[in-house]
Amino acid sequence: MTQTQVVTLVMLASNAVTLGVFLWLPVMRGERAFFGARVDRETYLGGEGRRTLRHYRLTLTAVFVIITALGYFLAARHDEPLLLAPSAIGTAFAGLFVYAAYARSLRPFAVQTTATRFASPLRTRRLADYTHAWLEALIILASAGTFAALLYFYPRLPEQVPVHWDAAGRPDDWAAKGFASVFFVPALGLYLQLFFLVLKYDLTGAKMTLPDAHAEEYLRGKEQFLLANIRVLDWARVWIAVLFALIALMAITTSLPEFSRYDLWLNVATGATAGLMLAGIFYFIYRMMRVNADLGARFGEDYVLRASDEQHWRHGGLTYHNPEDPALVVEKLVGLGYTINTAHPAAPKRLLLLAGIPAFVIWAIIAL
Amino acid sequence: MHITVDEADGRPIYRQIADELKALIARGELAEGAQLPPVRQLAGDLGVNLNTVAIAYRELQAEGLLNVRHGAGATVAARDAGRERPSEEELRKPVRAALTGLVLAGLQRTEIMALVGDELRALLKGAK
Repeated sequence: MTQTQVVTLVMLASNAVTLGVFLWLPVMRGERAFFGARVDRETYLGGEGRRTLRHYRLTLTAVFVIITALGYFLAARHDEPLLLAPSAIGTAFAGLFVYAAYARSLRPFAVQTTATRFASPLRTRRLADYTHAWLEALIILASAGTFAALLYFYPRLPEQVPVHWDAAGRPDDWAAKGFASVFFVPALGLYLQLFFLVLKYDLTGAKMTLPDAHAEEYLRGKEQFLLANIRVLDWARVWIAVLFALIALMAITTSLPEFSRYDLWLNVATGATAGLMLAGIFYFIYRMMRVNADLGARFGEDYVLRASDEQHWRHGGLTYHNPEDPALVVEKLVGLGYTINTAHPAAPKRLLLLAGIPAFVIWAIIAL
Repeated sequence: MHITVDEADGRPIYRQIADELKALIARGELAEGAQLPPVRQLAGDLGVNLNTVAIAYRELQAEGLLNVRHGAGATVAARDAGRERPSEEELRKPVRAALTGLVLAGLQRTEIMALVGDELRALLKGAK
């Protein structure tokens, strides 16, 4: 298979996965959050609910097929598989739009929760409790070591340095030697480390509301869920540090002849690192799903929602905007993991930090 | 360990929080020196205003049950540190109010004694 075919297949597969997620979203928590709204069993399983779900899925699939086909023809015509990338973003946005529209149509059927008793654990969660010194040391070593190595070899690098490599590890794009072309990769890695560290700090303070019944067992489940989510982050942090270090070193080995014998080794290590990172992330996400499935099986409920919070979930339960809620991080009503309360005073800073990642990449594309 | 509040309960939320914490301290589940969660965390979990939790903490501080230091958070105070025992009358007042409620509910003397005995045993089980 040629590289073009591989990239095309990966892009098409990612669109298919996005479609699968959107098809599943409305029913992931059953009638407790059908398109983000609590409905009674009759609406959920009866004519109205099934009809809405069927229409939603048909519309969604049609929109996905059209956008993906457009992207595919564009990519085939110019023989550039990366032209499929806008279709990936396009399908995600279209999916959100279709989902939110159908959620609006179901809003009249929503019923309010009646529970009034809620509990809070008295255990203080601190970042330090979730920090492993050796792991942080590895991240710092990989990040700082990359900078040191690039600085050391900087004078010996050629005037044109490689900035992009093909699947076999051969450079296929070069740029004039400069700060951006040499240090962009480790700088982006450092920014991602900062972003993930802030995310982890916020996660440890995630809101943990417990139901009155079985509060202690439920708390154990929710703490396991939080821990699994923090493990996802830690796993990603370590492997991003290693991955970015390896990619940065490729700039040295592919431009200095005396290191060219390490080319193959480095390329294999980079691929293995990326694979390991993805495998670990999938494993911990699977663990999170297992914890929730277990809670649901034991207590009939894997999510605690109070009536006063319910009305602040927007876009079919995908976003949360509650000025009355002092919590910044809350568990997603629809979806897996946590999301932020966009009405919290710290929320704009977090969104800015997130927007910094694409901004960084766009700056690099323009600068190189 | 957790505390529960009930939105449908007639008592104010800060009162419920203070009472729940007091019961945990009395039972010894919250031992001397134990750290309480930050106001922000507790308020978020319970879905109440920051001030509501702060008032509950301050009230317990005024009663000498908590040490609240800015930046260091709230910890459970040493039981007899700098606290004078309330007057005999102060101690009797809540007992009398509770017993009045039980009598008005139509409970017999033996039922009341059994109930008080049960509650006291549960309270002292964990206490030192």
